[in-house]
Amino acid sequence: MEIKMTTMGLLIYITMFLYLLAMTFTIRKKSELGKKVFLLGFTVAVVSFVYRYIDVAHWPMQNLFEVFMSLGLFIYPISILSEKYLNVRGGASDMLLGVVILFPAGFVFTAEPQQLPPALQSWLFAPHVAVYMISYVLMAKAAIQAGFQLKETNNKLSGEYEQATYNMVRVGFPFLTLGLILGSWWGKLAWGDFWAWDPKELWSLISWLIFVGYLHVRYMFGRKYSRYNSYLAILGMVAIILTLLWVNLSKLFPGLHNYAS
Amino acid sequence: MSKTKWIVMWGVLALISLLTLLSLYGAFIGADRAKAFFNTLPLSVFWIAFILLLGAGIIIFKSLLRSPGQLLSHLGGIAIILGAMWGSQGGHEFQKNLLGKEMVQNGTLLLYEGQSDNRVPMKNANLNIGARNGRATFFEGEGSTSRMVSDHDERVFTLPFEIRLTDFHMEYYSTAQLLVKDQNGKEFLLESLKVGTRYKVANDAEFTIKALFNNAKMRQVEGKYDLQESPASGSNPAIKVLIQYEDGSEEEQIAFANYPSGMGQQKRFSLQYRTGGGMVKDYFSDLQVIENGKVVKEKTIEVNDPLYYGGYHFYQSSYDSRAGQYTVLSVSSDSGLYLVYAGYWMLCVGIIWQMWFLPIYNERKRLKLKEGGTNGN
Repeated sequence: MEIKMTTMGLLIYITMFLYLLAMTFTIRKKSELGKKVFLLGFTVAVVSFVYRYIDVAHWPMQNLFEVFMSLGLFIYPISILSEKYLNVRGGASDMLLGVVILFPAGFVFTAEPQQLPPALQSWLFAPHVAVYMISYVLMAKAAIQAGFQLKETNNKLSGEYEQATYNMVRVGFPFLTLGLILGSWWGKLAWGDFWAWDPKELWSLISWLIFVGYLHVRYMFGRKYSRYNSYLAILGMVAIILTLLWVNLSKLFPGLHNYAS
Repeated sequence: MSKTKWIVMWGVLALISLLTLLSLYGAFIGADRAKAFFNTLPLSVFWIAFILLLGAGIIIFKSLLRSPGQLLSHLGGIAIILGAMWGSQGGHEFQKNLLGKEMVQNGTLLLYEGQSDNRVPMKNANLNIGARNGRATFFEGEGSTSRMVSDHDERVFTLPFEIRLTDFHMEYYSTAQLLVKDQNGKEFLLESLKVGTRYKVANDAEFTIKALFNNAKMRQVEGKYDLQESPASGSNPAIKVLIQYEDGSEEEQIAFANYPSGMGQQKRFSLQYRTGGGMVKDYFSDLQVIENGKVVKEKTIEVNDPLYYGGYHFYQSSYDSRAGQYTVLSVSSDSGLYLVYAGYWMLCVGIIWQMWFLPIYNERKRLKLKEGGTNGN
């Protein structure tokens, strides 16, 4: 636990507070006001991103602090676009997701600025990490919809949640694929191998394969066993969290991606 | 779905699950062992089964053949696995035995400054590489049982061309600054110092950074004393600047970080060179490819920017941390690489087509039909 008495920390805490406030308004049926506060929170998230970018003089996506801080930026646009184009209403759950995402940046990881080691100095750094972050937010939303599906007893609503899960995966999966492939291409440029069997690579392959499984299961059975579709979407998200966190933190998995810890 | 289709689909689920579990196992045993594991014979059988199942899917499912996005992504999967197998150690042995094409899959090249070499010990042979008298030597075994390996050993591959290292150098993250004071006590602070950069200092003087040293030593070269970068260990950061005056006169001036008031006291400008402790920013090797005695290609490589020649990529991998006299390159053959890349493109384009463009296209069509319907056309 680490409380940051810095400008950076303050910006993160303000964002978290505004996301929480937006959630409270939304739950209390003042969703219009909630949306405005959500937008305000997003504005502060943009400021923190730009502040960090200038402070460390590189894309703030190097370590877990920066990744979680930047993830807080993606939640608002993804929430709004999902509602508009995918018919997936996020509302309060998205605002809560924003708080949960920012929590590690605010209270767990240290914000000590680091210089980029030679391997990270590539134009592929920002796109590789950014598409992964976008896919993670999309898949988190998919898992939340899957959770709603599992809890829903009404058949019609359950079907809607199942469809919403699929819609999120359908948008997130190409991002997940791009992240994997950009990483592989970059690995070839930096390390000499497009696939090094590094633990982090294998974990990201596991996450990808679970969603490949999800897509094939859904093709085979459609909505016949909706619960299993939802379980798979949630399992995929669990694998993503493990890819993102455990592998970076644990000393059990020595590997090439260790600089991110 | 017909019975055959169900069997294929269950096979697909089985292989995806199996690969997930195998990857999970691989993630626990570390990269080296995982690599060896996924390259074993039983796993080769698994990969071939994967390719066959993907192929069977394409043949049996007409819907897959008719949908360009699905077809492309599944063909991409086949291309990636085939390319990776072709480029693996086993793939290289296969090519050597059947096609007579001999290439080293993965090796190491140690080069001294000013020297050229073409001997590449294979990475999987795990030979120790020593550096002696300006030349790489190879050993097997540890300690007292260590034994030198001949250049003609089958574990040492000879490239059909030579690589020459003309220079190895490093760049540091530096907070280095040069504080310039003129006789009246007026100060100018020069930052982000780089060789070749020019700074306007005062109205009638321009500074050009001529050289930056991490470990500067005076050396006598052809009767003249000059400052040079010393390969020996130690730290003596120094900067050499050329000062050009408006009247056309010029002079060189040197400042040492460790001896702030050392030189240039009587001159017009006094210099203070301050360095911050710097992390390495990048490693560079200036390389030449020599084939039949002629230089056919030149490139300065750095991390993330390898040299490509004759079917091989040469990567900046390591260096002589003690004396800075040699560089270590990692050598990889490009066998199967372009098939893998083609597979990547097919997979990405196919998936994006299927999951992003197709739904948008269908939605547009649906809206148009609806519009057409209400207009009564």
